[in-house]
Amino acid sequence: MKVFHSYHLPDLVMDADFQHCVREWEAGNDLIWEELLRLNPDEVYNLNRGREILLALRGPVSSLSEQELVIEVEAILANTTRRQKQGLHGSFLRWFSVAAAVLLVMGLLWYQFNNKSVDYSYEGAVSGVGTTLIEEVNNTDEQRSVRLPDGSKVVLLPLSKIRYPLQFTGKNKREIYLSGDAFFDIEKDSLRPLHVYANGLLTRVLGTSFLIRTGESQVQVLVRTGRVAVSSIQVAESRPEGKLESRLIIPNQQAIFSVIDHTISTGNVDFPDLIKNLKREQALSFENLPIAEVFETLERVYGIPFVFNRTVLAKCRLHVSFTDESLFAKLDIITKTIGANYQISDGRVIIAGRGCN
Amino acid sequence: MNEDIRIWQSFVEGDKAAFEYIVQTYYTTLFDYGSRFSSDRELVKDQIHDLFTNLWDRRTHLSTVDQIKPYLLKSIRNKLFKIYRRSETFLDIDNYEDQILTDDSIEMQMITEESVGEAERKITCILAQLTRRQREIIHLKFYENLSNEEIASVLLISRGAVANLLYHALRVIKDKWKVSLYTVIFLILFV
Repeated sequence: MKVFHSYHLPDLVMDADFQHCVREWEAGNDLIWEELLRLNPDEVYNLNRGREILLALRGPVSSLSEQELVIEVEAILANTTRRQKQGLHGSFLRWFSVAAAVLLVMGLLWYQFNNKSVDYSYEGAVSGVGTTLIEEVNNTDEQRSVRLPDGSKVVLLPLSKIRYPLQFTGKNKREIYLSGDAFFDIEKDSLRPLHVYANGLLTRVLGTSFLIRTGESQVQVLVRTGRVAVSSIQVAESRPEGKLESRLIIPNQQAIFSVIDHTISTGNVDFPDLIKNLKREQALSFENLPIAEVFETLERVYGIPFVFNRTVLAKCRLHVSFTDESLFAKLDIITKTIGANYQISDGRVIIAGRGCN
Repeated sequence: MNEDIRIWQSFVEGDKAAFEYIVQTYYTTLFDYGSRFSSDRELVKDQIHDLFTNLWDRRTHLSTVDQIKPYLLKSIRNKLFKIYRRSETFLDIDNYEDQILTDDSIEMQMITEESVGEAERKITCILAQLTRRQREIIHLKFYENLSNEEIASVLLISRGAVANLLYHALRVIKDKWKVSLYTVIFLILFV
């Protein structure tokens, strides 16, 4: 490992060793980065700034949609096959092939839209796939590891299932289908991004690690390393000519997709540790306990501080048992029961309510 | 690099699969780079289409290419510049570096686009203050991952000039980045 003593920032950003360290860091290999900081204690500020700039300079993802790419590449290939000689026919054929490709794509979309447009669920999405898929179901109450054909790792959480092909044969993508929750650690293949379909949400990645939680009404995507693009399949299908509208999320950010109105909102992850620990949801039951005790239990189990007014909520009691609901689902149920609401801020859960009689 | 020579050789010999591989692999790269010179997406697509169909037609007359990406980038750059030279709303190549930012440039689009992350927005604001030439070099270096030598071959300037331009661009970025950090601190302290 190199010592970057009194390097100017431009030299630092241009340095191949430094770039290597940043790439490793981005891929989740914190050790190399920590080693770099340890060797260069006086340069910590500069190294961090260099990393920030380098990552930002990498720039945005292309504005060219996959559909545009398919159409244009088809047009070029069609044009170079059929055309024997250059001439006026060239441009005619070009437009002809573009038109044909557009019609083909639109036709396919129309077909999909009319046949299974409403059903974006796991079963619905899987039923439209031509190739044979392997299904892995995790009915146990432990996490289960699944290896995809390309070597990518999927940690399937309890009560979740996933379908994937025997081999990824697609030329420009790898497609899998998810129901439930899973953590993905994806092998990089720049030519073939991985597409994960979950309840109407399309998540596209090149090679990263991230968590997807599929619920009845929403799908949550949390990124640990790399970059992830999420888009609504319905919105994409309703605009055949437009580009695939994606939201880009980066480490410690999350996207929440609403299954009902197909909108996506993004924000920071409030509890980055939740992604790291991936603790399996706790089965908890509270039998007519004072609410303060309930919050104290949750505090202990999830390791997240709760803020609430003991005096106001003193009379509230809770009688409920949870099985595998997420923390957020638990909070929803609890706050509804005691007529309060909750907010998450700075990694704390803040409960506001007027108390009970 | 050997891989590039091999693929290019197959393509020159008429291997359609090699050609398809080249088109698939570099189309997006060419589109992103071409979009730096024109905000007219269809124009850029047309030019890339022309570039590839011409390559296929003239494949037997092509010389050996050992690095495909810089070769294609240089070709699309030349094509787009030829159009600008012909057109009225012409981009003066000699004063190209001093051209100021126009409203429809990629940078402006990025700044106004909502889905863009904070760091990206920040860097885009800074990049908008560089000369076109500097921005182009930054694009080739960090977005396309080209070496200084490859950049030199795309822009037809010396390697020293590339290093020099990069260094100056990065110094500007470094200074502005600091300023924006101070702005943040200022906001925290006084607002």
